[in-house]
Amino acid sequence: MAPTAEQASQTQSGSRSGLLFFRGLRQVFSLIFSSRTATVGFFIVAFWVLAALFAPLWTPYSPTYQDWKAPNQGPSAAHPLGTDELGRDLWARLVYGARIVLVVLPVSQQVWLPGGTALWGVAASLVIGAFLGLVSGYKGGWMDEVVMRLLDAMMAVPVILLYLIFVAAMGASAVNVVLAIAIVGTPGIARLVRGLTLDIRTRDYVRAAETRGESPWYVMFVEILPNAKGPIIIDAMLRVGYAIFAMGTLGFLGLGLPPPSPDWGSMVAKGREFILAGSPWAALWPSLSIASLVVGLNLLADGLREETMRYQ
Amino acid sequence: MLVFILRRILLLFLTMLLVSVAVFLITEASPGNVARNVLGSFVTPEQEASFLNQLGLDEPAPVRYVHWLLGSDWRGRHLVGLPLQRLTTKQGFVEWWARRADGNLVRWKLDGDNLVAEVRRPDGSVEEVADNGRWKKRSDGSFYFWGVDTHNRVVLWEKGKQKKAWVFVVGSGWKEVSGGAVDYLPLIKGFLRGDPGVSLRTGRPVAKSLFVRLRNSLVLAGIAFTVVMPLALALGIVAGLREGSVLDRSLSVGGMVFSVIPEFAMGIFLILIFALWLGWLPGATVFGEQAPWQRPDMLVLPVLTLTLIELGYVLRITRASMVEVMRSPYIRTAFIKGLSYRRVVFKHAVRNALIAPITVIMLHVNWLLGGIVVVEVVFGYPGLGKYLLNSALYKDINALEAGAMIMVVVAVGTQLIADILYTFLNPRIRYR
Repeated sequence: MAPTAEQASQTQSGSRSGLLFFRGLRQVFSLIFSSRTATVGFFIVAFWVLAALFAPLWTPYSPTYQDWKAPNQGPSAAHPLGTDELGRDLWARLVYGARIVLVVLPVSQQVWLPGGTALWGVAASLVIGAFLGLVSGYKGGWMDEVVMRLLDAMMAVPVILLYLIFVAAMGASAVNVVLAIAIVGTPGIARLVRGLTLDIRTRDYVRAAETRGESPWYVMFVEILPNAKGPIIIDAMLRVGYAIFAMGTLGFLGLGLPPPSPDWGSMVAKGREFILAGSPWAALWPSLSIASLVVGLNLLADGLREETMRYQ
Repeated sequence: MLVFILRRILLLFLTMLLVSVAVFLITEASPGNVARNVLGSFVTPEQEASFLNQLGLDEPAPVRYVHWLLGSDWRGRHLVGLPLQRLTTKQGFVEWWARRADGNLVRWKLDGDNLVAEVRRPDGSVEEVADNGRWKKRSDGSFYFWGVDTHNRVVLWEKGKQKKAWVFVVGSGWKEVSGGAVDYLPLIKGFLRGDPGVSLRTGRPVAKSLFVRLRNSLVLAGIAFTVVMPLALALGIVAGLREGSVLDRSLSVGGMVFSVIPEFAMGIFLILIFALWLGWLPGATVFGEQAPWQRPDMLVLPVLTLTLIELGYVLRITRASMVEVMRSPYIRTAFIKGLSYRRVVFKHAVRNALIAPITVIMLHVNWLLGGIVVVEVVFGYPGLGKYLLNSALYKDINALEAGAMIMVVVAVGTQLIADILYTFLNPRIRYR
C-alpha cells in the first residue's frame, strides 16, 4: 500500500511542480518582455541558442570540411559568410562554435557532455563557491577566517595571470578552460553566498530548524541555500556572459580549444593574420558573434535586474 | 593608519610568495618542458637532457625554487671553494668570476685535457694561462674540478671524460661542442636579491627585457587612463544629472555594450574600420628600436580600444553614484536654500559623487591588466602582457615568475592605494 501512496503523492507533486514551473516561466517571460533591453537581449541569446541546438539544420557543411578551391573568400551564394584560410565555411564554423559554447562540452575526441563549455565553467564555480560560502558563512569562526583570507588572496591575483599560467601550463583543452573559468569565478560566488548566508541564518525558520535538531548540512542546503537563490541566479547569468568572454579571450590568446575545433576565439586569432592581406571575413564574423552573444546576455541580465528591482 | 598600511604590505609579500610557489608548482606539475618548447618537437632525448643539464633544470624542483628565490652563488662558492663575484662589463653584460687568493678574478675553460684559466686584469683585459694544477684526484684515480665557466655557470669537469654538449645558439641553431662538463649550475643572485635570472627562451637577462616591456605597457595604459578618466567622469555626471532621459538611456546602454565586448573583438573591429576600410591608421604596432611615443600614429588604435572598453565601466559607476547623490537630502536642502543649479551641482554634488568611481577604478586595475594583455596581442604591441604570454607558453620559468611578480605588485599595490585614497576622500572611514 505504502509504495502506491508514495507514487501517487510523487506524481501529484510532479504535476504540481510542473504547473508551478510553467507559471514561473510565464512570469519570467512577462518580466523579460516588459523591459525593452531585456527583450532585445533575449532575442539575441535565443538566436544563438537555436543556432547552436540545431546547427546541422542551418548549414550543409561540416565545420572541418575544407574546400581547397575556395580559401579566404567573401560571402557568396555557396558560402553565405565566406570561407577561412583553409576553405572552411565560416557560417558552419560559427554555428558549431556556438555549440561548444552553449550546448556541448567536448571532453575528448569521443566523449561529449551535454551543456556548453561556458555553462559548465559557471556551474562548477557555482557549486564550489556556494559550498565554500555556505560553510564559512554558517559555521563562522576560524574556518570562515581561513577560507575568506585564501579567497581574498585569490581575488588579488590578476585574473589574466591565472588564465595564462593555468591554461598555458596545463595545455589547451575544453576541460582546462572549464577549470580556469571555475577557479576564477569561485571567489566572487563564495563571497556573495557568504553574505547572503550571514543574513539568512538570523531568520526565524533557520532558528526553527536548528531547534528541531536538524544537522548543519540540512540547515545549510535545505533551509538557507534555496532562500538565497534569487541573487545567485542573476549573478550566474552575468557570469555566463563573462565566461563566454573569457572563453573567447583564451581562444584568442591561443589557449582555447585545440585546432580543428571551431572555437570562436581561435578563429579570430587565425583570421587576424589575413586581415591586412585583404580578407577580413574570417576575423570579422567570429568577433561579431562573440560580441553579440555577450552583449545579449548582459542586456538580458541588466534588464531583468532593473525590472525585479522596480517591483521590490 | 600606519599599522593598516604595514599590515597590507605584509599581505602583499605573502601573496607574492604564494603566487610564486603556485606558478612554480603549476609549471612543474604540467607535461612538457622548456627544452621541448625551445628546441622543437624533433629534439633527441640526448639533446634534451644536455639542454636541461646546462640550464640546471635537472635539479630537484624545491632546490630550483630556492635557487630562484635566494640565489645559487652560495652553493657555487661552496663547490668551487673560492668566493664568487658578479660584475657588469662596459658593454652591459653580466659576468660571474671566482676570486683567487691573490685577489685576481678568474674563470676556466677546458682545452683537450688541459684546464685553462682566464685571469681578468683590473683594466678588463683577459690573460689565458694553463692551470692544470687545480685538478683534484678522486679515490678511484680519476681527476675532477669544480670551476666557473665562461657562461656564468659553476661546472664540474672530469679529466678524460669530455662530454659532447649540445649548445643551442639562438638564431643559428644547434652546435655540438667538445669541452662539455658533467654537471652545470647556472649562477643567479636570486629574486629576493634583485636578480630574476636569465630567460631560458632567449638567453637574455630577464630584468633587461622586462623593464623595456613594462615601460611600453605603462605608456599604453597611462595614455588610455588619461583619455578615459576625464571623459568617462564628465559623461557619467551628465547622464546622472538627466536620469531617465534619452541621453542617459543611450549613454548607459551604449556604455554597457562597449564595456562587455571582448577586447580582441573590439580591436578587430577598429582595425577593420580604421586600417582596412578607411586606411587612416596602421593596424599593427612595429617599433623596432624606437620607443612607443616616437610613433604616435601606431598608438592610436590600441589606446582607442582600451578607451572604449573602460569608458563604459567608469561611466556607469559615475552615473549611479551621481544619481544617488542628487537624490540625497542635502542636495534638496541646497536647492531649497536657493542656490543656483550650477552651484549645487559643482560645489555640492560632484565632489561626493566622485568618491565611488575613483576608488572603484583603482580596484578595476586587476581587470584592466587583462585588457592590456589582449590589446597587446591584437596589435602586436611589445609590452609586458605579450612577454608574459610567450613565457607561459614556453614554460620559461625565470621570465614567467618575474612577470607574475610585477603583475601581483601592480594589482595589489593599486588596491592599497585605493584604500588609502578612500580615507582621504571620505573622512568618515578610518582603518585600524
